[in-house]
Amino acid sequence: MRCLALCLLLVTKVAFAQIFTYTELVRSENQIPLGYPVPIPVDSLLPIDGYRTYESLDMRHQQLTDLSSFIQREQIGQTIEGRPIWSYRLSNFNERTVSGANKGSAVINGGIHAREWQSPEAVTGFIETFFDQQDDQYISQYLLENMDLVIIPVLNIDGFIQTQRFPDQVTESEAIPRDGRMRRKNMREVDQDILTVADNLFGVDLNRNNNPFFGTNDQRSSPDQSSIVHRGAVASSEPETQALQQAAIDAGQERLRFYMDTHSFTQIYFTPQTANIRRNDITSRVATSMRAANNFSYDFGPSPAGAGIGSTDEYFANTFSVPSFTLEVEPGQSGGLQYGGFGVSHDGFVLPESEVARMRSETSDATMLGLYTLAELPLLEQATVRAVDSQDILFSGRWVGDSETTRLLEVSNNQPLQSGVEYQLLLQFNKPMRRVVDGEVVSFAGLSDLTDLEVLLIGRTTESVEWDLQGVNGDWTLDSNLFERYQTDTFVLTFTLPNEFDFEAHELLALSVDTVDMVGQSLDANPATMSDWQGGSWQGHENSQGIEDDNGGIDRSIRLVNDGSELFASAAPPPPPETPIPPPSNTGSSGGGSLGLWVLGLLCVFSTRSKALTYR
Amino acid sequence: MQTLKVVGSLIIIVLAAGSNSAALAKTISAEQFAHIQTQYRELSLVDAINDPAAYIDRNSETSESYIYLSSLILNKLVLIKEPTQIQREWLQEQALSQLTLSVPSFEHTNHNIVVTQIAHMASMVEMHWQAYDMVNAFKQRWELGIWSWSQYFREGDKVPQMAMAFWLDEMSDSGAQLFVDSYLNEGLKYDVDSNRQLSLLINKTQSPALYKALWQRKSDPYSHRALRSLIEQGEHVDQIINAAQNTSLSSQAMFSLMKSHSDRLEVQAFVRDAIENKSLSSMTVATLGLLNDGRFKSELLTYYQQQPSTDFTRQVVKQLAGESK
Repeated sequence: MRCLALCLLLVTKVAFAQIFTYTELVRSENQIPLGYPVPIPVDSLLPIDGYRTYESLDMRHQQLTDLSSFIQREQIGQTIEGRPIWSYRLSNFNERTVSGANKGSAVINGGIHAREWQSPEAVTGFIETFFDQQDDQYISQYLLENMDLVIIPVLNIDGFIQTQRFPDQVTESEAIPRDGRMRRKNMREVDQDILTVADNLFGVDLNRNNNPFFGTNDQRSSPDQSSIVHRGAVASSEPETQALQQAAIDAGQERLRFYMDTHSFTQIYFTPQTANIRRNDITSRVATSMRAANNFSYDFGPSPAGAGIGSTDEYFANTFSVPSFTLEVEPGQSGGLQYGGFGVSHDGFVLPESEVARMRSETSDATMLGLYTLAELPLLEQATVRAVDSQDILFSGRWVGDSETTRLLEVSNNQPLQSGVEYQLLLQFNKPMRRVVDGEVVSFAGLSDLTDLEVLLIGRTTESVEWDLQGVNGDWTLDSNLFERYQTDTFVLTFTLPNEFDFEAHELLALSVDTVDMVGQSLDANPATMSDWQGGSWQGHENSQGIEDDNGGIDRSIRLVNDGSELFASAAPPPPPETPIPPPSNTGSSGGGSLGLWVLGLLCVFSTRSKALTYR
Repeated sequence: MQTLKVVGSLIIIVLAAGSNSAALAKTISAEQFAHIQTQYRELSLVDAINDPAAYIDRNSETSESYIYLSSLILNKLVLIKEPTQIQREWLQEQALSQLTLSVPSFEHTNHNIVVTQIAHMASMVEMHWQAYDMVNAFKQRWELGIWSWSQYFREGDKVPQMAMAFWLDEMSDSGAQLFVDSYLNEGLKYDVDSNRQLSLLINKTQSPALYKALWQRKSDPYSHRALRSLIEQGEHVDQIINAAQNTSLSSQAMFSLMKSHSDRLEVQAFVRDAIENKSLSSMTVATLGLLNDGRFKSELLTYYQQQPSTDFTRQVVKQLAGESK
């Protein structure tokens, strides 16, 4: 009897099976007209105006790996159907940044939801951008040399292939289409035939299968196998979820400082907040950098701490205390209407082919700026003064790493400056500091301006003195003879000191440099302690008062005349902890200890004058 | 039934008043929506399309079902080539409608997924109807010998493009050939924005002259679409080789040649040349593993194994031997 009932049920269900076909225009029943050509993936290694098949994407990744020395491919797991899941590590494979600090890492995931075709193209486009621009002497090269990136172009490979198997067909209904082109989940207990309705709604939503909030929200995840947000039997039950966790291990969990899961659509950066306020604030800052890349056409959606749905961004935010995002690529909520489509339900998942190349480029640009924000905080590494006429170097001060957590200032050619002589000052930073568009240095979305730099000589004769070197007259240089490593990592300023300037009269004379990097982050006011990411915030990054925080301040660390005084007037007590996270374990990078080293370094290098001095 | 009529009338009153758009945007659970779908799934809607307003009044129980039923009727009306006055008037009303049916987004707390937006659907139907009308105008111009390609491309609008697609659907093969000749002689020079028209004509006629024109133009999504269609036919290998000369299309063409046609001598000659051709080499070498002709593959392998060892020859050998890193 049960068998009969089951058969009847199956027969009934089969009777309900219906296929709907996406078309550009309506020509017959059961068509869903998009109003633009229905994208069909093609085999192509080259990035095209459109979508590539999984086979060709996979071969493209392989090709880029074969052709470059900075891409390594690792198998991080295999799918339900037994396909290998690959990650690509992009790095120069050094453990430290060029400036000597600990190198951070990032994980970027693509293709977790099968129907979101924008995602594998966006993530592959990101790798391709690095490949094409690896020697750009700008952000791509900077990131390759100062960060380790672990990129998974397609996590849910089986589901993705299933959508490509039926690029214009769906089941269930025209209003809420499922399976075929609109499959979202993985292929657990699903065959590849969309007509067999007994199983075609099955599968696990890999973005509901994660700790720490697995199974805590029955509205937005479900134990029902047919639900589009079915969360699976237990947390991390799915091999694809486990592969993503493996990617975090490969990235070096202790070095991780960025995660992004690439989805579509609605054009927004979602992020889960946690109890760590500093991490939350830095996450907002990173989001601003990414949004600024595209004129804030993407929204920002933080969700409150302490709750969740089992998504991967929650896993990374809470497990590793890193800024963690779900990027929903374009279109916005209006879906296909944004491109002149008819506005049918779910058409936002079907970005027109004509928009794909632009989308790849824009999302790559934005992600690069997010990574740039977290790769390193800005640091004045070196200051050099030359006589314009003779090109003789009169002064050079450079911060050089002398341990894993500290730097020492090395000074050479320290000769007196004279009034009335034209000098060239080169301030060299650890990263590209300004936005460059079409070969021009430009302001960036209110985050950094060409004139955001104040450079002074400050010190003391019989009284406190300050000589404004008129930073407004300088340039962030694109001249490869002048910049150190990356375009705009060096600021070049010509200046002349006034008649009343008397070098010999100074007991103390130091450069004071106040600027921000491209995304508006201030300098590390104490380069002697290396900044590092630990426990969800920056350590060893000091503000103008010498207090560790995430904001930085004015650099006054390079002295032309040194009286041996402390860099910071008084050691202000650290602010009370804002969050329950434990204090950083890296004692070498905090407060007095590092200052002691710094002073010791100065004493070794300078001939000092011992008068105390109070900075303004 | 009386109650249903009252509900329907009330909804129409709200519509007419155009008030309170929030009340017109309905959000229901996915389960409720599935229930409504099931309720109306088997309806033929034959009566409905004759007088949509009256039918909906009689058959919708709730405002949500009112919206869904309207959407179903719009889906039927879009296929009507010659709508009646009643249908046109009803469509005009729908075009002004603010009725929207959404289900909560399971992605984001405060978002909804719009499953039906009546005004957009009405607009879609209206554009189809305009396109059907325009087909007749196009036919007339063509038959009277006053068809102007410059005018067609100048209009550059969505509806004329839709009309062109519908017109080509019903064009005879001989008629289409004359139309292609006209396009190649007159139209091509005005066709500067995209390869859409070429792609439509190729789809209709498979004319080699059109393919030749297409491969010589800057590629766009329509070029890839036309090439895909050509590849799916499994013939015209000469055309696929021609397409491979277009840098943007070369990889797509090469995939097909390697996977499906590498037993043909002209393809083998092309592949040999492409391996050594500066602009095609990298992409060709990367796809060598796809070669389906085992004998050709091993010939190539032997040849490159015998060449002086360089980075390039090692890469070729690796690909042919399936030893990528």
